[in-house]
Amino acid sequence: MKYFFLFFLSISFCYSQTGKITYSSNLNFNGYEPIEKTSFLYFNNGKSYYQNEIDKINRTGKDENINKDDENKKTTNIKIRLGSDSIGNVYFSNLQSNKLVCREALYDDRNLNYYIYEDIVKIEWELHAEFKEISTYKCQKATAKFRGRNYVAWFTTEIPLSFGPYKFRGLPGLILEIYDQTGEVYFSAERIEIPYTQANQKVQNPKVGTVISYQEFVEKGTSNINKITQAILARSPEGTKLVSTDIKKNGIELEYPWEKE
Amino acid sequence: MGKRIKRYFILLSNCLILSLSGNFAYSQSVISGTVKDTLQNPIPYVNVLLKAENQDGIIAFSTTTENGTYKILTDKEGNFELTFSSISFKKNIQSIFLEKDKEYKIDANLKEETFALDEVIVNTDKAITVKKDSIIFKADAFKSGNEETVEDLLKNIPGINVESDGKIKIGGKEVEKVMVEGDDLFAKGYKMLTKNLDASVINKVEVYNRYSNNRLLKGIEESERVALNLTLKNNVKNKIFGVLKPGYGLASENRYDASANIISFREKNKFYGFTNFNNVGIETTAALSEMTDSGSETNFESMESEQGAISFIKLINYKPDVGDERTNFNNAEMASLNNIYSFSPRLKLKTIGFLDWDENKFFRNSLDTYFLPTGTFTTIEDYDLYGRTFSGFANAELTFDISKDQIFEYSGKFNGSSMETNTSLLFNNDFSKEFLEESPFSTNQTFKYTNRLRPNRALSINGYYIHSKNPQKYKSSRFLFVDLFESNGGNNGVHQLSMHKMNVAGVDASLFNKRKNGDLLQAKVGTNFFNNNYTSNFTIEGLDERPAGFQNSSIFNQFNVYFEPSYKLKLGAFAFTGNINFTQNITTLDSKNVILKKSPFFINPKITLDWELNKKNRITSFFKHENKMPSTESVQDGFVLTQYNTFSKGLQQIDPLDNSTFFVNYMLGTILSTFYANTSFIYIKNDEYLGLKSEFTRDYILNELTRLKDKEFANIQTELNIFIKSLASNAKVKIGYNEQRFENIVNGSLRQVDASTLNYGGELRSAFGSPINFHIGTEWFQSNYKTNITEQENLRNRTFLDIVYEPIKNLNLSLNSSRYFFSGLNIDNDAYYFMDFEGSYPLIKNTVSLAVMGKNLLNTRTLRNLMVDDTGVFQSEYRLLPRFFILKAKVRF
Repeated sequence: MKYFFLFFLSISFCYSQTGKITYSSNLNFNGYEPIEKTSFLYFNNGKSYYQNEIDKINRTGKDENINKDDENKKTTNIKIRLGSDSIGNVYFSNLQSNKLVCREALYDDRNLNYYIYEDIVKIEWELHAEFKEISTYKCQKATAKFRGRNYVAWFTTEIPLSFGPYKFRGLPGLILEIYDQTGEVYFSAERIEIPYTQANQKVQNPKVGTVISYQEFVEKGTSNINKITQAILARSPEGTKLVSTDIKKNGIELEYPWEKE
Repeated sequence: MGKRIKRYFILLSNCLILSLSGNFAYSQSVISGTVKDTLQNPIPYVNVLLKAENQDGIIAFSTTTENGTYKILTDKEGNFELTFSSISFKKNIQSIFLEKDKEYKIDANLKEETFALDEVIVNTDKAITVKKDSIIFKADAFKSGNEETVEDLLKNIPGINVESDGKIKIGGKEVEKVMVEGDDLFAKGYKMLTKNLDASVINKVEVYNRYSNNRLLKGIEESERVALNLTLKNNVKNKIFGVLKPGYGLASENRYDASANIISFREKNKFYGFTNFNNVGIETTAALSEMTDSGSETNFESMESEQGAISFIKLINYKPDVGDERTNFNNAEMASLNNIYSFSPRLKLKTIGFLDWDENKFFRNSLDTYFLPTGTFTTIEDYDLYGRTFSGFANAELTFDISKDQIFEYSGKFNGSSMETNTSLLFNNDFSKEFLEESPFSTNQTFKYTNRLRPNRALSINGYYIHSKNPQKYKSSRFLFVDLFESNGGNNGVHQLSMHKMNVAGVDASLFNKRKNGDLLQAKVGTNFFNNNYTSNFTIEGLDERPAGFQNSSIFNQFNVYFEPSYKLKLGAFAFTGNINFTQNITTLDSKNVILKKSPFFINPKITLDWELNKKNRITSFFKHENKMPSTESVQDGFVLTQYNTFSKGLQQIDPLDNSTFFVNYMLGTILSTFYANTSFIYIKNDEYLGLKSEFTRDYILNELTRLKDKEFANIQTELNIFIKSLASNAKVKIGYNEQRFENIVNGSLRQVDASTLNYGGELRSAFGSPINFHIGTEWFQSNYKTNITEQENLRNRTFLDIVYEPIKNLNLSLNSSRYFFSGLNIDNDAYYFMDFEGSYPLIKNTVSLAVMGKNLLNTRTLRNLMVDDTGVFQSEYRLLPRFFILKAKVRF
């Protein structure tokens, strides 16, 4: 009887610890069309699984069109649309450690390849005595510097979860809104469902993908982008005003731990 | 005693130091403990928050470990509360009085509590709001404090790119327009706005994706266009601002290029004034075309092309391809005023007024050698032209939003010019003078009514009336046509009075229906009427009678009723568009001696097929067959003078002509791949066409049209790109070939002409991350004209090298150089070199900047070129604007 009672308790315990937070993310990197995406954060028992909504088009492709702006000047527009596979980008974290297991795609040689890497994330949040209300939730402001961007996060202790979108976490309440100072990165919670029992199936280590180190992953990505950007610039026709090229890093992360030294 | 005091003192001071230093460095108190549930099991991941009593802000926090333990360090003292909260437990708050340098052990027992938030929707007040096809940025959130102009503000907004020349791009696409409070004053000339408007007045920046110029066609028509709208803060709508841009020649003859503008936005009335004075070869009318260019119209809104009346005499019919500015000796002044007045939120009037004065000079020497069935001869010409133009343009556009789903638009355009041109001419060593007076006038009245019947269906009704005329009065002081007319030899000159007057009226209705699966069905029905009045009177001085066969007076009318359905669908990798035009045409030609009437029925199909085989291979293609009536000038029976020594006439027949076109384009790879190639092929076949029947003599040329069969044209062009990673550069190879086969009649003999051009070249362009970059290239054109008796060949080349250098930020230097080569010219002067320089630097950010411009640094004064066709070889020499430097300033007020 006693065993049964314990068993019952542990089930109810698991149940109550699940949830699903829907975030909308808005990435507006300079020079690119803004990307608005919906993402889902699933959690159970101190573990979280953050996943981007699967691209409905579900195809990897790129559009390009060569516009004739005026008589002499031609502009070339390139849009790379990274599709996704049926899993997409995933960030798996466990509150026990600073380790995150991430699954992200790279567009190498015209193919979409998924990689799995381990990232150590320790964000030094600084709390401020500033508050605002987001849909009746009282939120406190926290700031942190993370990988080359200065973030402002609004979290609420009314939902006592230490999770957040992307790789953000570690505040004593759920992050309802987080953005960086340039406005290029923006996440906001849109919908909260607690409990959400299906989360039990969702929350697990991502498996499908080539395992490499984080540094290898980043370096691979940078070299792919440089190759593409240079090719585009070098292919612009005569008459397009030549301006010295500046290949800017774009993305949520601009600096990496190994670059600081 | 002393010792004891000393010891006491040391002790005291030690205590003091300890306590002091503790205050500064070691005064942190430690709060720790274990959190357990009602069954005494430790609870992990409980948030432990430290707050000041009765206050909100969390001062410090921690989370329990797997064992349920936590630890918080703080340097605060006073009354605090410690909150234990976890998602599945009831919140527990404990009071705590903190003193410095103490350890507190606080355990907590939490009661279970189900925390449930069933589908809570969170609303955030965002700096960025993304709607379906628009993004709204709150301007204040993107201001960093040092921006002055709208351009600076836009640079701060992620996703918006402002290029160095002020062009605004979003996602790589240039914006169509930048509106202010929904009003578009500038069209493509929006830089005037973004470079001058103060950033502080902006409230919101709105980006519209998939923008439609007609709001009712939004979502129905396919659009890749982007537009910007700026909303203004309420308190700043009464300012007047502007820019002065003086530019004056440095160490060279009197050269100037100066401009100024003034802008004001009031709620009801917005205006923009602009003026420019220059004598550096810049066509001032370009500003007008920028402001009236409403961007690429889609086929949904297309109307009959804005054709104008014919100019019989064209004094400059060819300019060498070295940039118009190099051969245009000008002195231009222009002023314009754009205005938008809102009578009510639903009724708006936009007006544009434009005035332009221009003086132009143009110089050409030619040596033309004709190889004809009747023999070979040469003509020489020395041509000096001086022209004065005064032109005015007025445009009124009225937009009335009848309701949410209905819009009525009216536009009236009036365009008039007065031109006087004098030339002095040495033709075959005899001197003559020409005088031409023209006063073209045109007006274009259109109305459009759009009704969005359903969210996916719209009806558009267009009506238009165009009136255009171009009276020309021409006089040449020399009579070259002794062989043509029975003359007494005492003739001194010739005159021609000519005018083409046209009236076009039409109305059409289009229905667009976007189906749920994305297919688009469009049907257009309409009617139009073209009325052409064509007269020319040619007289010879001293001859009372006008020479017969050199006069025209005719009325050419065309009436069409048409129906044009089209359907666009996508099937997997295929995109297909089918379009058929059914037209019932009635054409009449009424000249003095004949009346002709025809009423043919046309079926003109067009099929477009795009096929994306896979990521690497893409094919686009179309086929069309077209029947149409010949144009006004090609049905005239009387000769008209088109140049001092050339007469032309048409063929008095109004039978339709047909042609078929096939086009295919194959793309291998994409612009992103290391290897990328694009090849296109076009083939045009005319079963029947109007060919030339010409008679060349040393003094004059007579051209007339004649009906011939089977003309073919084929063109293949391919471009290969390879990106060389080690050089960070792209290498490009271009190869193309086109061939045309047709017949003509020259001096009485019908012959087959084979014309072909082979072009080939290469380019290398760098994309270094360094401040310096280059672009070098060369291209050869080899033309060949072959008949049964002659063969003319010609080779020309253009080579260029552009270098850009940005040694420090904002100091931009560029040097463009090019070389032109023409085979067949005298070996000493068959190559021409040009070099232009530009450097700019902002002195006071956004207020004053300076630029130096040097044109034609090598001071090349003439350019000779050589062209060939099936009748001969034509060598011309053009005079060029000499070297000059201009110092330009830019001052904002």
